[in-house]
Amino acid sequence: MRRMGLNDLGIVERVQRALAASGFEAIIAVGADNVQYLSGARIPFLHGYPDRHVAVFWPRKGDPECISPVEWESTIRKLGWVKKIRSYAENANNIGSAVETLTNAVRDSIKAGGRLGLDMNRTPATFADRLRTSLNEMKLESCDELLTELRMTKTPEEVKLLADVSYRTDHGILGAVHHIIITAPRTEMSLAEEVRVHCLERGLEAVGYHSLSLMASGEYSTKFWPLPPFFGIGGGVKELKQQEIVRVEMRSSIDGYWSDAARIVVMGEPTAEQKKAYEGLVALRTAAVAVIKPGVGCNEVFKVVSEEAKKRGIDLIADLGVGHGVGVTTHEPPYLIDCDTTPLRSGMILVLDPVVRGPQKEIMRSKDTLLVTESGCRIMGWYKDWQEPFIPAYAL
Amino acid sequence: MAELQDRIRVALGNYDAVIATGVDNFTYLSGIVLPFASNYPDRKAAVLKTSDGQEHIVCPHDWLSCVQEQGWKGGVTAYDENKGMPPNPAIEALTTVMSKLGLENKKIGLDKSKASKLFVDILERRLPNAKWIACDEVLRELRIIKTKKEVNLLETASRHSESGIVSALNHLEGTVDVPGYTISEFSERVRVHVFEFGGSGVGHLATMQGADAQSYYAPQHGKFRTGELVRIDVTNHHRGYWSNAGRMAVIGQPSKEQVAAYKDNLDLKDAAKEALSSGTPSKAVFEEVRKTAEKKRVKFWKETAVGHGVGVSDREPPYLNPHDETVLRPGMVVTLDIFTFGPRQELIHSKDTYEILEDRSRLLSWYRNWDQLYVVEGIRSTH
Repeated sequence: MRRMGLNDLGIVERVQRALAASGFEAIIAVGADNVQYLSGARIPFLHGYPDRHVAVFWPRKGDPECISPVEWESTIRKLGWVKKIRSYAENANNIGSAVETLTNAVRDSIKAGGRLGLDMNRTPATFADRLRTSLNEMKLESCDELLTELRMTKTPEEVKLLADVSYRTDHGILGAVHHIIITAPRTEMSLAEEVRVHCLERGLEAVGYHSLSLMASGEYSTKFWPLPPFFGIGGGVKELKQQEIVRVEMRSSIDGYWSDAARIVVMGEPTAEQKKAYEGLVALRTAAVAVIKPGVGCNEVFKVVSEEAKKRGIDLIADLGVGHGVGVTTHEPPYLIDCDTTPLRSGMILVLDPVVRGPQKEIMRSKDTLLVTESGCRIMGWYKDWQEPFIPAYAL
Repeated sequence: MAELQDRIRVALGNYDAVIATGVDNFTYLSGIVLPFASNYPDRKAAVLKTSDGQEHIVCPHDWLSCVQEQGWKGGVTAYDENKGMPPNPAIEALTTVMSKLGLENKKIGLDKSKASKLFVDILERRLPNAKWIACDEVLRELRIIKTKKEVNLLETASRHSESGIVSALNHLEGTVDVPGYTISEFSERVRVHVFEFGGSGVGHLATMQGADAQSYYAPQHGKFRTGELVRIDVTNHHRGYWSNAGRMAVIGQPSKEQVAAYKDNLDLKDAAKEALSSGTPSKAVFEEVRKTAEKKRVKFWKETAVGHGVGVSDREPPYLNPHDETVLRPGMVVTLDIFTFGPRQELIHSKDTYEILEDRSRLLSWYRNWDQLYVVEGIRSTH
């Protein structure tokens, strides 16, 4: 498993090639996810500090550079592959400090009149407006498309890492649910903790809000987020009961690359209705897997799954789409939704996630991580065969 | 939180409506907690409040029950993510609501320091006759002074942090030598205990020792080693109100150098604490620390602030840095966070959170006395 002192996962060369072909003199990323992608520095708390800005400035000719508050400089240096860092001291106005530092970096590398790309879909409007004013001699344009394209197709090293993290997460979930005994129930809170602990035991990192395990049973399983605002701790003292459908969720990471997992447990031999509901999930997976291959549009996958659901009378919650990409975030392009016409390509990694309602309106999902291959797709990360739900041992 | 909603209504009276998209501002204006939202950069929730008292939230479908179950009384639109590439479905839902409320040509405040440039541009294109104004300063001023109920929530969150850290340390004692457990497990125990004591969410969570502690953050790895200083950082919220905690421990009996380094840190904190009272500019607190450090010849990390506010985020104005002229006022809540250096250049801090009162400050993170380094030792039994 990779740890400190990362290699660049093949990203540096890919970015350089894309940049050379783009016509940009440089690109700038301010979004936490884009910063991690371009720098390799996985800073799990970055999303949570909206008043402190880190940016990556990547010129077509020359080395990339990070702009960071002083406090995080050594962290970024240690965790990422970008070694050139300009830090700024705390100021009354951190946007002002970051923009000023970034402006200096740009002016040291790029001549006036150059086209500069900025991730407008992430950069706060105030930041972008000030940067435009500060760099009024440059042409500041969106480079969101370039970054999206880059991030959607993973390098072989990224694929390996994501395969590893999805497998370990599945293993972590299974490790935890193996502790469930149908006749000796435990609370959701305690089992949600077991999921996190078992993931940690398998070398996963549990960082940020995302590392939330969820154990939702009975009436709580009818909700996406039971008992808000108490997130990620299950339904507190509620014990699992015989014959309930239990949804187990976990998001976890290794070196900033994420898994997005959910599995179904049934507390006993499934009833005919429960069996039918789970078979529905399997059928939707099968339909999606059959159609996913390079060249197929993401929207086509959505349509195939939606039609399969309709044909079988499955209560699909279609507003969420039926899946998405995964990488330095748990939810990213491409999106398996009705309007995303992005053609699938070899090297994309998808989380297939059709969400259906069970017999008691339970929210049922069994997320599968898929790699799009040259000829089709391959499910990654199954610790067990998920043709059927997990059914715990009956008694000690 | 009726008092808070009244304050918000009055402060935002200059706008026909205000929209917040930043996760922190969203929580502040709506009272609804969506702490995971910042980890979904392509999915947006927004709250809209009009001057005549109407309120509406737009959010993705799977966040809808979150909003409803936290007692939201206003309107809600859960948008269909199939309707366009992000952030278009959220914007379409928002502009549809605005049109229904007759806001197409009104004066709209928007938190532009949080909303992305793309989001704002599309929004402004969709409703070109609206007058879009950044309301970040107004929100900043509002948020910086807490109501009594907000202070109570922050005090509770502080207690949860302290309970989480101390309980995890309790578990660590006696287990260090044989067989010992990993730093990642320790951090997880902090999280678990925050939850067990009633916390509603954990954000940043990290434990660092040795060379790792020389940086602000390092991924969790390895086991505890005797003789090392350990820094434990956790941010957690109680119903959306955050604590930002950091404490120091030592594995085994501390060396003289470690004790002295820790005392140096506390000396600077004492100086800062003395300066915390209504009427003092934020930058004067920093200056007090700087002067004390110079007098006592203590090296501190002067390029960073010596503290900051906490509220619906774990780091917010006022900033106790050399440039922030914000005058401290009753109702502000600040966390003192002074970094000094250990014998191996470990970053040392021991954060405490205070409410600013008329003539003094009140400690909110009072759960335990941290005047000494927490010593982790013991012999394993059946702990």
